[in-house]
Amino acid sequence: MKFVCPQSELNTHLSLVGRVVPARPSKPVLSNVLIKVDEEKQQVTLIGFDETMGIQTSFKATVEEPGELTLPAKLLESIIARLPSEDIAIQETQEDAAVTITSSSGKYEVRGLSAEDYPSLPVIEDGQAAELSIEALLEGLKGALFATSADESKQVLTGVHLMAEPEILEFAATDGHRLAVVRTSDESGDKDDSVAKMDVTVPAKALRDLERMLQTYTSSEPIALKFDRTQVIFELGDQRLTTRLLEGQYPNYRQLIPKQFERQVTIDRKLLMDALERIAVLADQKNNIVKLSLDSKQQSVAVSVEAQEVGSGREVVAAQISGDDLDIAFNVRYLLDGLKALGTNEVQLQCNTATSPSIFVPLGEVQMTYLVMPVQIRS
Amino acid sequence: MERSETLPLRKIIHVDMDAFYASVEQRDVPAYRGQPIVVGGTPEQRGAVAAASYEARKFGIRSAMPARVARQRCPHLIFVKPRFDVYREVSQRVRAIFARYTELIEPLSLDEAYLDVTHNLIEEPSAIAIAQAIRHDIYQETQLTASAGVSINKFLAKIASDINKPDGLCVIRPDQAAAFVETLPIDKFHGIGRVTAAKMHQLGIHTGADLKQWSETDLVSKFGKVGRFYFRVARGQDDRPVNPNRIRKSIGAEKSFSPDLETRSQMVAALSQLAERVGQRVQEQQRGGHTLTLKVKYSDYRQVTRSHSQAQPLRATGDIQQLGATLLHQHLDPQAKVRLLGLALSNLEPRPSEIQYVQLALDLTPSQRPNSC
Repeated sequence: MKFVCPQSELNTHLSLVGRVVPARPSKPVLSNVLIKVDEEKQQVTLIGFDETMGIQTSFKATVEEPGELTLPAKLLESIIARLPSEDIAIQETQEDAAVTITSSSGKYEVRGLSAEDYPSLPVIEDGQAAELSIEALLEGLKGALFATSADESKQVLTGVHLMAEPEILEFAATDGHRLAVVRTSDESGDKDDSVAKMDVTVPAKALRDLERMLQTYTSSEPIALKFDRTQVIFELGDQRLTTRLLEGQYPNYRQLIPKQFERQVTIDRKLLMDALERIAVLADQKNNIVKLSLDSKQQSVAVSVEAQEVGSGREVVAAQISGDDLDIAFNVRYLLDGLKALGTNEVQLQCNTATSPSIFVPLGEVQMTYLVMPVQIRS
Repeated sequence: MERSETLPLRKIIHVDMDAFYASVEQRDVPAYRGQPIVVGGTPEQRGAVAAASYEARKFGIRSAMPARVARQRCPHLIFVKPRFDVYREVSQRVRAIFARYTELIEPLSLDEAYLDVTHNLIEEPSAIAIAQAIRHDIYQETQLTASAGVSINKFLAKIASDINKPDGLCVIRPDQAAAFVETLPIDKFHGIGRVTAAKMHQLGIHTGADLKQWSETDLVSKFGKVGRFYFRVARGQDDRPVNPNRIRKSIGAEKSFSPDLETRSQMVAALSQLAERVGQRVQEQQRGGHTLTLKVKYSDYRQVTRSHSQAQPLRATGDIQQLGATLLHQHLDPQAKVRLLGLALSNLEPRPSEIQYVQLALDLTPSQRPNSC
């Protein structure tokens, strides 16, 4: 194996792959990155895999000798990151499974392991396929990922549920206290009916990596997706992300969203967020609770916090309100998370009582519903 | 010391529900209306009066009086078992009424609170108008009457609320304050109990005017550090703010005796009354404490406190009484006479009734129906 490539290129791709390399691998070879060097394509491919998810990425290089080898991922990444920004040469030594890294600053030798023991990434033979536009995917991930649960005991909630029907792609995530649903109209090319009714739950961790990959993805080609009952593979040009799907039935979230609301509050998203950010300084000191007081006479919403032993605060934000006055409390973090994701100038809060589900919807083209359960104040 | 005079005048209201527990019972049970009733323990339980209706008060029955004595004064007295959950609920409704007018509310108990309405939510400059509005709202929404005192500080507002009770309103204006306090009999001062009042009488202090003659140093040397408080209130001064976030650290009761207690059985009887009051407050507050402290002041003013802590919180009157008696037996100086006994619970458990925040959850139990549009 022998190739030459710019330091920055290798550095970027190593840090992408490095994200999936496990800190405590089940077998030693998994803490390595697999490097495949293809002379014919003049291309280097890097693979990282933790047995649940894997990332594969390729880039152009001047290849003099083909070959395959695995090298310790973190070590290699650390060395490459510190080399000068110029072309570097990587060459397999005569001895077993080691390389020399040569740059103008000097020469390093790093030992690795044979590629033979490295497991291959899962492939999907008889699955279904779909194509998703980058915009739709990014919109869905931005609007849903934040609402996933971090509680590993609720496996299926640690992922985002993806559902595709003809021309509709719906993302949903909930942690049991709030629920984000984003519906994107997917116009990525032709669809025949065989193309998938998709109904899968993808781990949030994999989707966060996917989101990063999408942000640096420059092609306008849609993302190809293959899936079966246990795996999904996203293909972005030369990059590929594969992950195991989360098992278990995803909650029937649509029935959780009330159909009718007695109260509607239309409010400037930025103004409300700014007020909440300030209120959160105190709310975070205690229990994160913020009270919204809807005042239909004043056509305003008072945002207030009572942090015992710490202090209190109150701000008033103008709003268009229909329905009776109501005091309703929320976890301020849940509100801020949702408002950040909603993305329109104005949003609408719809609610019934202080103890029933409230929803935020954007006023605009984005089709998102953010449901938040209130905090009940018992006394 | 002159701080209160240089600051802009505050507008403080003290609201006190009239014979609260008894009035709630009379409201809910028609048969009790117009009758002398007391809420609390029965003579058979060796209980004490927690609240007495105005009809009962005509017989000289007062709260904290042993039930046995109450029955002696009024043989046809009706004893009613307390329903603290109802009183708490009514109390919450009353506090919700206060909250319409001001955010500065300091509840003292279920039936009393201070309100600072200097700056209020309805931008009403007249504290008297607010006090009337609150009394009106309370009656409309709970069918109970409250008395209110309006003045420039907590001390004066509290005294004022007592003046036209029941169902009354009394205002002590800033320019009346000094004269008012001067003519006030010393035993009407809030914070001066029967025993202290008796001691003051011995010293020739019968009214506020008498008290005002004393220097701060002399009051402190006669009464300890509380003498400073006496010095200020004799001048109608009280800088204590209305504190909506007052954190209760202990639940206690104490009582001075005159004449001093001499026998062990007198002391145990007194302790059981104190335990009763502490137990009642535990029920009001819905929380007990892990530490019980016994305070004993001997006739020579020596004071000792002795505590016992345990993993299980103390809540029941009987347990508090028993442990209090044990502490007394272990630590009492058998030679000395006792002029004051106190029992207090501290290391309080978190109060469930303290505003509790419950993040509500979505019902994610799987249902048979699949997602559909």
